[in-house]
Amino acid sequence: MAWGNQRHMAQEKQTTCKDPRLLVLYCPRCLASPLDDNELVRALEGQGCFLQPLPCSSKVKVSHLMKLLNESADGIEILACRDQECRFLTGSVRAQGRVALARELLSHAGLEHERIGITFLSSLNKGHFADFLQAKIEGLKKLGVNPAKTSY
Amino acid sequence: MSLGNVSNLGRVLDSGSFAVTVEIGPPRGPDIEALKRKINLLKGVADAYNVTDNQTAVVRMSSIAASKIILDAGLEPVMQMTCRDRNRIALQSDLIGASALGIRNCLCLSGDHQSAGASGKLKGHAGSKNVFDIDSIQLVSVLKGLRDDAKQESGDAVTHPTPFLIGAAWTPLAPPVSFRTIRLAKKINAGADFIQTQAVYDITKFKEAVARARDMGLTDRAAILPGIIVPRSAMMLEYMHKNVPGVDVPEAIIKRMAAAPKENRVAIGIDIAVELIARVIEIPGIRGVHVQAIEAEEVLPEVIKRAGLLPRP
Amino acid sequence: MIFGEQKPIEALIEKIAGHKKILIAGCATCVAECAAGGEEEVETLAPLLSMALRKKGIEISIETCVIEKQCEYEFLEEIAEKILHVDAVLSLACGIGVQALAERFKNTPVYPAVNTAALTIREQEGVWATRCVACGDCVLGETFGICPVSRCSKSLLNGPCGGTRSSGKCEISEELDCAWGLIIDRAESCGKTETLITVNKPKNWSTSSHGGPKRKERKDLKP
Repeated sequence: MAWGNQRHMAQEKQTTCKDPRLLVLYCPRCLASPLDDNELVRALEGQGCFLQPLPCSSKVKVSHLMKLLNESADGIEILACRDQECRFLTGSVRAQGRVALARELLSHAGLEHERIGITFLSSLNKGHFADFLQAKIEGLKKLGVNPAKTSY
Repeated sequence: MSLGNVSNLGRVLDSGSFAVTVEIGPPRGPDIEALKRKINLLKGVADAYNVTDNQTAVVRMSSIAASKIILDAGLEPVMQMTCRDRNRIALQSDLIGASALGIRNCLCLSGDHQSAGASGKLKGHAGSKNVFDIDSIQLVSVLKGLRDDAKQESGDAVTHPTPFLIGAAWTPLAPPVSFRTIRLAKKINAGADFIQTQAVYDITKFKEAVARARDMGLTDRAAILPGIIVPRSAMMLEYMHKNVPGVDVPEAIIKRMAAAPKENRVAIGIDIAVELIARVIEIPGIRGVHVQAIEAEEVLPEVIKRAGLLPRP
Repeated sequence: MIFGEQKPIEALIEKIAGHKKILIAGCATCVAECAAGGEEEVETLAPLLSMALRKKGIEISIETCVIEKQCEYEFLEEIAEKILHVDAVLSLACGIGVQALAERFKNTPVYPAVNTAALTIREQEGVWATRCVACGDCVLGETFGICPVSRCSKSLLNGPCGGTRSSGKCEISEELDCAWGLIIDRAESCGKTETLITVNKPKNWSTSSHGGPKRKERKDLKP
């Protein structure tokens, strides 16, 4: 094996030594029932997935997303209501626009835009919710730890 | 000033003959031979030859230089001049220079915006700074001042007047159509002696536009020469219909071109041009034609001959 | 209002990469309105730049501030102390704000992070369009309240050129109205089209930037 490749692997090992943290910012109306299952929440946290409810997905600002990625998050997933189902009519659309801008900024800055995502959901039940997040966690693991963040 | 004393084109118009102008585009380099080929091809088929001024904002030999080359070959140029690249100082200086070189016709244009760049076919100079110090109508009045009063735009005197036959463009079918007659009137009020129009294919609509101009007495005050562009293909006609402002091509003409077998396309294009000329000749108030064949000048002699417009007076 | 838009992030990285400690200075006036240099943009840019530089192996300390009106010397005093502790300022204000900073703080490099682009109106949310070029000799009284100097791509003063598209839009862009089309519409609705037949003389551009930079004095307001 060439020396270059060995070095590449060593780097990879270093960045995957800790599981990445996925921050989920969600509008509670996307879910069929309130997320009161402490056991599920704790299990997710154990895998590095942290949930944070928002009054509406539109409360997400680009500056928040950048701040979170700069500090401790490796990935951020926003869960918003489907277009026509937003309680505040245009909330999801606004969230979508901001996510698009944030991703564009990351790309231009030479960073991985895949670290920010948005998914539109409709009354997702608890079981599906857990599966959905599991898939997101696996996806983020492939991307690895955010090399640009300050705290691990 | 009597038009007849200014230029050959003025003489033809003054005598009441039906005038013919054609276009010679300057080359994209100092290629006199390219110009000479066009000159030899087109000698004798028109009363004057329009020399374009960096049309579609593509850098070419200057219209003054190309006009002079044409003039030296015994043809009379209609020097086109746009307001895009020169302020009133440069415009007047160039007009005096052109006059000194013996150029006697000038067509005043606003000019395509520098973003045009040959409709995207070339890079062009979209990043250049434009001028538009004065507009085409104001340029007409500047020429009139230089010619009739030997005065510059500011009022300062020039030593000798510059004898130019003053031309302007008209796009009667561009929106807002209701205003286009008024804009024509402004050009004629400012001092335009002759008017060359955007390409005409829809004779019915053009006839109506000319009637509106006639009603305002404009056809008596300036000679209107409708533009005739010899069609080459249905695709070209469709492109112009869709993309060239003020050009309406009736479906029947496009269909006729589309139905022509490849080997007959040139001939059908010539037929169409000859028929268009025949129909504009009949419109009261029309005093000539401005015939163009884009990148196919070789068809022009035949078009003009079959239209019954040869020999030139 | 003055409209600006942020320069590409790559260009900003290049400018600040050599510094150890910078201040990102926003402005809460025009550039905040057009979402180019207000608080939200400052607080977005700071972590973004930190991350981009960190990825390149460069650690840089970034402070932020938002000045109420960066174009007025009085408002700059509040950052006088802060500026002593940084070695460069990245300003998100318009060109006037950037220069005010440079004039006030002579020893600190100031870099623009925004391209000042036009004097605009907000036509709708997220859409700004030119309405003025500060020509210094307003013609709106003759053109039914629509400015051909700024809104016609050739600044024509005597009606629309032959390039108006069949859609009524400008030759240079389907997104732009033909200013003369708008003027004529309004003249028609006022029943005053006949006034448009007057040939307007060449404009005196000496009142605009073509006449040189302005320095205007008002004796009644001077101390």
